[in-house]
Amino acid sequence: MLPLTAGLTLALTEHRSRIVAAGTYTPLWLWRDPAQFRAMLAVRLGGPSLTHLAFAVRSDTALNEDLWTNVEANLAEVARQLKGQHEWSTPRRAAASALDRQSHRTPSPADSAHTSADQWLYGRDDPGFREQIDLGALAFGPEHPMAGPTPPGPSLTVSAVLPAFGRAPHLRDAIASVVDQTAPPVELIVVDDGSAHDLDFLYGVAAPFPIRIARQEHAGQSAARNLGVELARGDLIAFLDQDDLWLAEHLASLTQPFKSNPDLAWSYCEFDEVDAEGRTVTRSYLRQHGVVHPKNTLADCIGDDLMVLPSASVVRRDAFLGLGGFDVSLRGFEDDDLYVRAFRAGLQFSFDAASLTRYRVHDDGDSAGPNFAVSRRRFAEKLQRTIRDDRRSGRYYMRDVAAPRFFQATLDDYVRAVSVGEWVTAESCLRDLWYLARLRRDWPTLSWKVWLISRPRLFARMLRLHDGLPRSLRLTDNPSIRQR
Amino acid sequence: MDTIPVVLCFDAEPDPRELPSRSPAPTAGLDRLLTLEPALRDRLSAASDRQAEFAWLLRMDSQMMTAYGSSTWMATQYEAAWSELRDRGDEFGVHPHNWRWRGERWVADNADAPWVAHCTDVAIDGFRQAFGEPCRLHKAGDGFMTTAVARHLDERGVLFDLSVEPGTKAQRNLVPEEQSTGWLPDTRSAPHFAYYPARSDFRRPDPAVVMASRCSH
Repeated sequence: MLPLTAGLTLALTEHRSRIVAAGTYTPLWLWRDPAQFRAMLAVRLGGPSLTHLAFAVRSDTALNEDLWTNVEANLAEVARQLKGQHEWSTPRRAAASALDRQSHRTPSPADSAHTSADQWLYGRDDPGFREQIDLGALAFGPEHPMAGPTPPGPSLTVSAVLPAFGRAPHLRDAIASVVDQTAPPVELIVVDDGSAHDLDFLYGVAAPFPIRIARQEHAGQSAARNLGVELARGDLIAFLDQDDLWLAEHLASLTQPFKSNPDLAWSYCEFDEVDAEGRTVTRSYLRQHGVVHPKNTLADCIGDDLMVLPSASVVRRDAFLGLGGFDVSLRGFEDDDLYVRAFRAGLQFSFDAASLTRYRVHDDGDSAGPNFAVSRRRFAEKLQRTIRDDRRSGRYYMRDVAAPRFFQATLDDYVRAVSVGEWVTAESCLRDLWYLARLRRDWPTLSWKVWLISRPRLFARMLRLHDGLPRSLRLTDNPSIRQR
Repeated sequence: MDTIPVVLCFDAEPDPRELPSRSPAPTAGLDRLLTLEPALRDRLSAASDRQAEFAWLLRMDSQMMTAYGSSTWMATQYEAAWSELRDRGDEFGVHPHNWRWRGERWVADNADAPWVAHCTDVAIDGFRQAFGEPCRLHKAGDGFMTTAVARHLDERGVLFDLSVEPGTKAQRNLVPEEQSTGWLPDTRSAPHFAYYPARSDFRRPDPAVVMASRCSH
């Protein structure tokens, strides 16, 4: 199939004329204005890639005498500007001629600068008439589809990056939330992380931007996001996970701070937690859980889960690449890790307290899998390697801040694992508990407690016995049901 | 200067954009166009010193089926006119819109990919039924296009498409008062020359396709 693109295909309907008369819609289609038509045509004919011209006329245009007069005048203008070196052809003959013209013509300097099809993608490098004409001088109204800068926005463009893996039951909803943005991105890059899932439906999405699909062998979400950023052409990157949703103002709000602060690297926001069916579980999750943002000290950055969701973040692409992207060895905590590195690098953050993202928590989510515990250990080891204590100021980051945080989270996982008989996971957690316990200030007193629970099956029996006691006699509530 | 081919296509449609649900709308515009066209052809032929030939894109879609009782109404109602125009060398194709009746009014259901494919199929199948030959030319209503539609047209044997209007930014719809879903595409990056669309993005030329080989259908 060959699109005979219609460089000046400009239909006008009598219906629209009536609407214009009513004052509710003021398009400036070129059939209406011979002067504009003449100017556009002159530029179009001067372009380097002229293979044909195409025009369209809706049949009811003939009902309006003035419009029909314009049609005739404009078509006569085509003949005048082409000096008779033209023929009014059927599409079939025009296509054959156009292709022949393309294959035989001598490439111009402009052509050679644009041999890569990719360079056409955003119109930035388009040597066509839009780049050569002063559209402002043509006095297009703001509603005219040819009005406005190319690409939209003063200088910053946004690429949305969405990694996809597995069944992805919520992927269509996620895509729809990107399409419905009041300030859409210039592209959506869906990175297929080695998934068997058929993503061809993406080609049918009626989006206001191109949807590009990139594929990689399964390497995890971090690697998928990094690939997406590599391919992205936007100045800013907006991440979205396949389970999550953006509210319509998400991009408009999160990109706003970049316009006033050229040094800003990362803009992020509050979010709502929703369940698998998309029903609200927690409104304004961060505020509800007392998580304060933005962070101002390193201790704040590593003392608890940051909950800076990629889906709630827009980052400057060059800053992201400068940081080396997400750590691909992490399949959990990769967002915390990136935030800590950005903080340490002195990058600037902006936090929007409005909920602009809906974060879906469900049983199949990443934070429920075994990878998460493995990543926690890796992240802890990474912090131990990369963050030095400040003994003079009495700042012992691992001993007093990070290790207690990770110890408690690991203990929760251990209790949960022994409660449901996941012995392999329990053994893994136990190893992590010993590792983290040794890092803590209270290691001498903590060690015997860890020793007490260090036989998973015995500990499981103890838990059952304990849970069987009347509530008034229990030492504590079973921590396996503690909500984290 | 080489001879530049210029395509002039007429969208043969009912007069109003929003049709009554189950009654035919007037086509006075098309009637008048058919009376004006001979003089226009003569003038354009004289200016180019060659016999002018045009393209006619006929509305054939679910809306036509609902309003006129048949998706091929436009073809059969004006059969004699089309026959005469064909004798003058004109070419014919389809011009489907994605209108869908939603209880009280029409909605351009662009976001529903299966519905869009259905509308395209209604048009292509209707063309074959009406003209007894496969449909080779397509121009979507309101300049709508997705990569899936481009692929579908290719698979259905359509050779030429005139939907893409380079230089237009994405819009929800052409007329704000109308109802629609999805977006009309951003074609600011689309080339102005004839090209075969890439399988991954209809706005991009497919560099892997040797054009001449594809033009021999």
